[in-house]
Amino acid sequence: MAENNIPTVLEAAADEQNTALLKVENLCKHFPVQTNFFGKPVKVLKAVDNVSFTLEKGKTLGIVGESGCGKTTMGRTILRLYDITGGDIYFKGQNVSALKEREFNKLRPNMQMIFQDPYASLSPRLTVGEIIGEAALQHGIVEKSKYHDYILQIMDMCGLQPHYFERYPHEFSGGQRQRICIARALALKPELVVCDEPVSALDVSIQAQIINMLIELRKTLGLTYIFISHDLSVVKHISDSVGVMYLGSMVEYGTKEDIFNNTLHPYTRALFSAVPVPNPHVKMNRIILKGDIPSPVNPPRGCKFHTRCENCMDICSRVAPLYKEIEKGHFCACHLYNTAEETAALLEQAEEDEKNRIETENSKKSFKTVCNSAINKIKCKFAAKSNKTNKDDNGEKTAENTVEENNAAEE
Amino acid sequence: MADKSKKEEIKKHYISASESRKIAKENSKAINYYEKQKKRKVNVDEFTTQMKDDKNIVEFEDLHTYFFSDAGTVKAVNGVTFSVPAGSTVGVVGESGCGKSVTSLSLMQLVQAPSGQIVSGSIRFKADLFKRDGRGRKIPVYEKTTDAEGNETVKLDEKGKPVIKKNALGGNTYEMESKVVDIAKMPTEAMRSIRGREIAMIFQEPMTSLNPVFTIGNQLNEVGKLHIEGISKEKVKERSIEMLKLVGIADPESVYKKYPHELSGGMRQRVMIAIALLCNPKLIVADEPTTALDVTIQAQILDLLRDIKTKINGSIMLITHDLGVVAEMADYVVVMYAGKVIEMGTAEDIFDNPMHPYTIGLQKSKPTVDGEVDKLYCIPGYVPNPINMPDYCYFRDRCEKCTEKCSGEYPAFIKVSDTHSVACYLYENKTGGKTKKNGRK
Repeated sequence: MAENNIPTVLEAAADEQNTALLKVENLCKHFPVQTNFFGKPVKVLKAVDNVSFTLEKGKTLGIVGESGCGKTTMGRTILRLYDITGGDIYFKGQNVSALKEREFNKLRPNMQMIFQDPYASLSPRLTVGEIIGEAALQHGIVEKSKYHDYILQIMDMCGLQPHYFERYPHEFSGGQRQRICIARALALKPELVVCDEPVSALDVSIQAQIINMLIELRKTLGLTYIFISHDLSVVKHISDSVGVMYLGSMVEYGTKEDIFNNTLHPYTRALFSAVPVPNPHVKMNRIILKGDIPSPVNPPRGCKFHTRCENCMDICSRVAPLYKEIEKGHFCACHLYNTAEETAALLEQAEEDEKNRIETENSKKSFKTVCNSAINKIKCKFAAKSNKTNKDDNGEKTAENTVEENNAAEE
Repeated sequence: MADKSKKEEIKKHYISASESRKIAKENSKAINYYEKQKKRKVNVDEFTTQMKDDKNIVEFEDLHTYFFSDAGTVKAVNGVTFSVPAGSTVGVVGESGCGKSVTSLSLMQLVQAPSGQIVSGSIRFKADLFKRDGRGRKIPVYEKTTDAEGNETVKLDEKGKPVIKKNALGGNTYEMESKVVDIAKMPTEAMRSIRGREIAMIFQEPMTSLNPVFTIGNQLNEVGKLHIEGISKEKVKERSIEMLKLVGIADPESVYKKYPHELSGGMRQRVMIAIALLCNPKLIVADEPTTALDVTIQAQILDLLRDIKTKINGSIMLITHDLGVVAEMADYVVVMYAGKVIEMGTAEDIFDNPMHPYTIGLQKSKPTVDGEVDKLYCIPGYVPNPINMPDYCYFRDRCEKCTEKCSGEYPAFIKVSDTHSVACYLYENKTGGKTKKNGRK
């Protein structure tokens, strides 16, 4: 009986993962900053640290945070543009983080990216047609005979006129270039598109055009977006769920309504209050964060946000908070939402960790002290000898030659 | 047939060799003329004028700043008229390429020369100039001592030279006179006494506008040494550290010794503000001071700017593309489009009752955090090519409400209320009355 159950359980699991197009578990990306003599990293920059989320088909996940919080790195790591340090990525139920490079390349057309700067991400030596069609030909998306029509069709979808086909990127304005970037991504018929700040380099009126187009394409092609942006209003407009990142880790994650109407984490609250509202009558209750974002190479101990937090408690500087589900589908990593028991347990564990740390440090120290004491003993002996000679010197108060003479006499 | 249309298409985007030669010839002629104008030696009276309204600190009137490029003349600023009242913040908004930065650079006489030149118009600025004697020297104010009988005598130092009175900044005091100058007609030499001392500028990118090979202290001191005459080395350092403290840097002594790359973006912008404030300017021109910064740091910097405005009792000309920042900071708002001012008024006027179709479109196209819309409004089309601007309203081709009249000449400013004016034919017959029809819902 038990054996019969297994396939059904597996099927159920598979079903669950079918709805979830992308599932990220404990994703980590660390960059070595300093290596030792043998090339092993001594110091690492934890650009992405234990990030988990699931993304359903046809939905949009917005990622917000300050610059340097690891948003872009996360997007690139999901597409394996960077090597993964730790964690798993499931794309349609398949663990793609374990795949070999060659096997993964077959999957690449399904996951595409729109880069941040349309001025830097287009090759100046290729025509628009070549830029859009290059990858499609490479991956065999279209036959060569239908290639031209296919590219024109994609261009038309992205609002580019057919006679742009033979033009070069420098002839276009920022908004048009971004359309070319989007067309390049869509030419591969992807299911998942990572949009890395697609509108931040554009003007307001052009921004609106691009955002409207992205939403339209999502509807018609059934795309799934990861929308990375520092502009909260844009993220709110386009996303279904939102993740807030700070110093490499996700501090809050939930549906758009949860995040914007029922904000839990103090950082999210401060971030939202800092957004200027285009209405002169609104007097904002600003929560102004003190100082700058700490260095990710050397993040603060305990909760990473405690150095700038208004609600900082004793526990915050000692224990890192757990990333847990506080309401249904609404995750947050903050000690404010701990129960008393949890706090006690965390504190206990912290004390234990602290003890262990001190012990290990002591053991290191004890080895050092043994060495030091031995060295000191030798030093003392020498010191005693030299003292003797010094005393002799003092007694006579003569020049160096006389000391030498004395030594000679002693010998 | 197809070939012909293709040729025409190419002609649209490229210029022929003979045309290009013609343009180059004209450009060099024009550039030489304006460069000579800037180098000429003139009396102060030649560029002093009168303010239209005494309350204003700066008045732009029909300013034209052109760039003589190889493809033709780019009219970056094409007839801009607005004023900055003393003690207030004026926000200049517009998309990139609308000429808002060039307007501010014209005010500082920092337009990229030789291709960029102020061609016509005037920028009137109420300046405190040094009084000059017959030989063009500054007249110092000497320190005086009164003896027992009540007679005033000039104090002498050990060498028998008269001692010059020190001012609040620690420099020498000279006799000053308040004059209204026209910056557009001023030669470069004369501008140097105003730039930095009377008008200071905060530049757009703190990352690129600080010199990477000098320490922060060095760069701050440079301003003090240049603009505060007779200041001692110790006083300059004191002043620099005081400024760093004023802009909210927690540990000014250590930042003073650091290099720019050791500071974060927010800190660098604070240093830029400190440099701008060093000589107690009357007017601060902030060119996109927060565009390169994060929202949380932006909130800090905006708070600081507001604080400082009250502390030094000056005015701010804030240039930005972010409507949110303008709504928060500005008392008056000027909206620019393609080198022209299309609407101006108080912040309430512009945000509660926008009139020009472009202003309305701009506000509707930006998603807000507290509101929700299904589809963002987008202004169709693109900004017209800055070379060969049309004669009619520049917004006509993108406007949804355009009428037959719009194809005529460029609309003049129409005063809707005392503070609010707009350049659009839609409001020609509605002068005076408030039209709420197009207001934001």
